[in-house]
Amino acid sequence: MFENLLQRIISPVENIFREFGSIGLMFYQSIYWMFRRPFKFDYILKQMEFVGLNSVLVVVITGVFTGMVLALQSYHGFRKFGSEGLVGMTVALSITRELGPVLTALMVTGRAGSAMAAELGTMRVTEQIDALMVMALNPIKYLVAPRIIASFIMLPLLTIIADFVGIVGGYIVGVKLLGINEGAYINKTIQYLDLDDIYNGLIKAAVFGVILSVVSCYKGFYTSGGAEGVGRATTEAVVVSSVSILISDYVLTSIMF
Amino acid sequence: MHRQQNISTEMKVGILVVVGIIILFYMSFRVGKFGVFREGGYDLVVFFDNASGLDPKTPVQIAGVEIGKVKSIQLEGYRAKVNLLIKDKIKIPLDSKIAVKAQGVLGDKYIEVKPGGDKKYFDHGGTIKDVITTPDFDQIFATVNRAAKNFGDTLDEFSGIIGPKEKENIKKSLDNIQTVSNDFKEVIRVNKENITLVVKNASVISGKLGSIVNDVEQGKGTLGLLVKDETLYNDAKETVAALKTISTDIEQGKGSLGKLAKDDALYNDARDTVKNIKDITAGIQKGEGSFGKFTKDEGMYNEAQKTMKKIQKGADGLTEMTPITILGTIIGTFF
Repeated sequence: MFENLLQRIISPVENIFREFGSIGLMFYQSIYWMFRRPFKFDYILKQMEFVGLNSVLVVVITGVFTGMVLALQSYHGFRKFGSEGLVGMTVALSITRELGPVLTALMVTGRAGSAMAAELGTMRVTEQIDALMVMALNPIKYLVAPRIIASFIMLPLLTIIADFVGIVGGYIVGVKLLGINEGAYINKTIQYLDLDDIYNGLIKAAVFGVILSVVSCYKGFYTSGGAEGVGRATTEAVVVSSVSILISDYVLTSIMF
Repeated sequence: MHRQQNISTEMKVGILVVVGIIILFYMSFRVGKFGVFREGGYDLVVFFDNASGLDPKTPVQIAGVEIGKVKSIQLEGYRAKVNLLIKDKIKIPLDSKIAVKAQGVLGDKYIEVKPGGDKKYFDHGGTIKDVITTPDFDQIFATVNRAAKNFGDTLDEFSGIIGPKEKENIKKSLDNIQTVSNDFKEVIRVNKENITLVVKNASVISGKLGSIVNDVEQGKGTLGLLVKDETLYNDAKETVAALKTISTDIEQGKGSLGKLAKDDALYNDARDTVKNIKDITAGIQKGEGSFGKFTKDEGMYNEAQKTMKKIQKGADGLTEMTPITILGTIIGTFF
């Protein structure tokens, strides 16, 4: 009975380590296979379309409204000090440094990450992955690596779009709706926004892209338990990816700024 | 069919990538002030006692216009050595001054250069030595704090001086002032009619005075004629001219008076006379002769003093004849 209790404490911890180990191993294998011929550009391109292009609309909407609401919120704060001109700077800095990369990554996780997990999970439970292995085609090279590459490239692109439309949204609300001095708004934005802010945001986005694709592929790749298992894998993929993104965001921010 | 699909995917992804890169470049150009095309410039060095609030990229301004940036900040012998990167086309005179300033109370720090009038300019690596130290907020607050403390001490001392006795005195003084003012009020109330009469008379007098002055102005009456009549003035002028000719005649020894003034013999006579007088006075001094006795005698002196007093009294009486003096003043004001 005592041994049983010990087991119950140890096994979850053990599982966490095993999970991290498996994810790391999978990441390592994908990088290994990325640089092995033959290169499957078709696969990568297809994933880029899926991860990137199909997420543009949702990212644009997220970005615009985030910028707008930031302008609205910070306006009420800054008005108390009579420095409404700083709204532009606040919106631009928040979006480029933080909200652009994070919200884009979360939206892509919800849209594409869940789809990756479901797709690979279905292939696993219908034994398509096993079939690939039988045909001597490495499933990591053909299924996982293209998704990671596509996310790695597409996330920064989506983020720069989100940054841009977010700042434009803030400008529309701040200058056109709330009537903040346009010159002060734009000049303060340009004055306080550094190139490093944008670049660091994009680096973050690339890291988030890798995290969400690796985690989602891992969850899908090792699915077990039929249709129910696929559903569980999809949910776990989204949850674990999102949490990992937010945790790594803090770490990255503390390193960068 | 399959190929068609492929091209379409490539196109789509390609468009997305291009759009993303365009936006990235656009934002980089807008945001990057020194940006991708790093503007050249030359270095200047400044030593500050306190460089708090300064960072690399802190703007350097002349008259509010950005002319460069802080490049780096180092510690050199407990002073902050700040390297500035100034734009090439901006030339800074050698006698320029430099100061760290803040934009408003909450604003960011910046470096202000106050250009001098020198015709020589700083070269690359030059050091601006004329640093104006502006007090930072800690110092200002310390000063304000001290002032407030002094003020408080003064108040304490003041309240120490005013004991209960002094308070009583002050109260009494105030009461006295009140009674006095009440009395004054009473006096005014009783004599109200008299006072109004006095004021009325004064107003009548000043009105009359006004009309007199008016008359004088217009040359009416004797005084008016005196002031306004030209003939009088002309007479005076002629008299002065005549006097002048007489005096020139005297100068030249013309006429009897002239001879009197110019003749040497007369001068010698006068000198002898003065000498004689001197001898006589010396005699008097010694008490010789009858006049000498007269001056030295005490009783005589007292008598003379009494006489002088009487004369004084007579003169006082004369001064009391003020209307004449007033007339004199009025005439005086008109000339």
